[in-house]
Amino acid sequence: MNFYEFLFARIHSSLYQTNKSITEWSTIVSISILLFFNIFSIVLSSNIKITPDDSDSFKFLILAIIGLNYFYFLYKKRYISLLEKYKENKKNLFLKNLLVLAYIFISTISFFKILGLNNKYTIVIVCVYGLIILNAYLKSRKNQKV
Amino acid sequence: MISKKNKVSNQLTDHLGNVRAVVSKDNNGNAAALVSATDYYPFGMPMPSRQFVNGKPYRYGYQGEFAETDEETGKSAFQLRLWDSRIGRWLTTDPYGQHSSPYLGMGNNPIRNIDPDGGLCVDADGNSIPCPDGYGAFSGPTVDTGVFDNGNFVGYGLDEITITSSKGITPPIAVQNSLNFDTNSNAMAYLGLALGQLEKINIGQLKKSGDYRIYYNNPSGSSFKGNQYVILHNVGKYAKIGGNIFTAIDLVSKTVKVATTTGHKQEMATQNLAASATITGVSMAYPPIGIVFTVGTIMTNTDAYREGLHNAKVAKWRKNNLGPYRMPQNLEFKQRD
Repeated sequence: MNFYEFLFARIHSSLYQTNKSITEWSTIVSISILLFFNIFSIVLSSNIKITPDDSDSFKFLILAIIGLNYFYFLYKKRYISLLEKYKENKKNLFLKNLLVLAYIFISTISFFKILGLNNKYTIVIVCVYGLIILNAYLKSRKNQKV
Repeated sequence: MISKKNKVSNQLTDHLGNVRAVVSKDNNGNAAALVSATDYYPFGMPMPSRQFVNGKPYRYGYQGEFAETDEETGKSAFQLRLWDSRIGRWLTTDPYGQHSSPYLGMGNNPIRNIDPDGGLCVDADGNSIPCPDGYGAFSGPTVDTGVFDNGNFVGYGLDEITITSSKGITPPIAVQNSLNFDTNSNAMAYLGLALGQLEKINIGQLKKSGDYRIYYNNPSGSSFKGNQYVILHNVGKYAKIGGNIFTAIDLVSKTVKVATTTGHKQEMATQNLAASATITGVSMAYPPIGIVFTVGTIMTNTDAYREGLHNAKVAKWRKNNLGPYRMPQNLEFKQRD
């Protein structure tokens, strides 16, 4: 199992519950942001000095990550076969889902911690993400029953 | 039929409305008589030996009621310009700029098209159509490729149209295939589509002969024409993608700002980052929020907005009798670097 592809499939299926128009684009932007969180966390912890002028280069970095993800997932609609593949494979689903959730929350929280964000903001953001995920989960349960 | 005193004249026309013959009969019991008869070359010049005039020439000729023969020049005088039927060209330029040459008339297809006022092609049934220019360079819609509603271009004829947009109201099947429509389209409806108020609409076939329009149950009750809609759908989709990517970039630049500012300014930057992160997360699930956020950010960064905000503040101070002497110096509006 490729974790990166599985992450895409899980985020896609979660976002698809509420966003049916550009789900694939939203998914690659989400994955790109998570990757950016990881990269920025490493940069900050490794004592590399960042100045306000570096803002542009980081913007290019996120665009580059989105571009790479575009070619990895969306180019020639590769993501459709990926979604099919991970839809059928339901082995250890609970564990895998837990892994995805852990990755998302740990990436986000550790990033905000390293950035020195006040705890109350971190809690609000994590709660908002949690609510979105919970909403998607409840909607998918409802759709399954129907 | 034209009545003049006790005389009745009938004009006999061909499929283009050219007056080919005029027959006249009076009420005195005389037999009907041929007043005039004319055959034309394709571009309207009377054939020399096939023209018969008995008495005063009849006022209409080539293209019937739309052109009278000018007495001084002998040319066909349309409403807008003179037509030289010998060379098959107008004597002045085209006010509508319809063809590659401004002097070219009837789309170089005088067997099929007419020109009621000297500016626009009309087919033999009276429908106004854009006509080909005869050089094969016309890339616009023609009767063969386009769908026309009372002569107005509606869109190109397609075999099948499938329109998919995001969540919202789906019109009932009967309304989707309805032939009733209005032609309003307004900015609110455009925004409605961009924000994804529509789900999915399939209309089987946009037939070239029919007017298949799509209804969209928005508050103002306006509808879209099929082809307009496909373009709008793409506009909405790309707006959402753009909004998503913009919120991501905004998040990144605010992150860098938080990481590089210190002291009391960092708290403010942190609040911005927290708001940006929340909006980014929500806009992934609900893309319209990304568009609204993007548009709002761009608007609040314009000089006009900042100047307006400043003027509002100044007005408030003046209203509360703070006066310019009490106004802090650093609140004067300055353009951001």
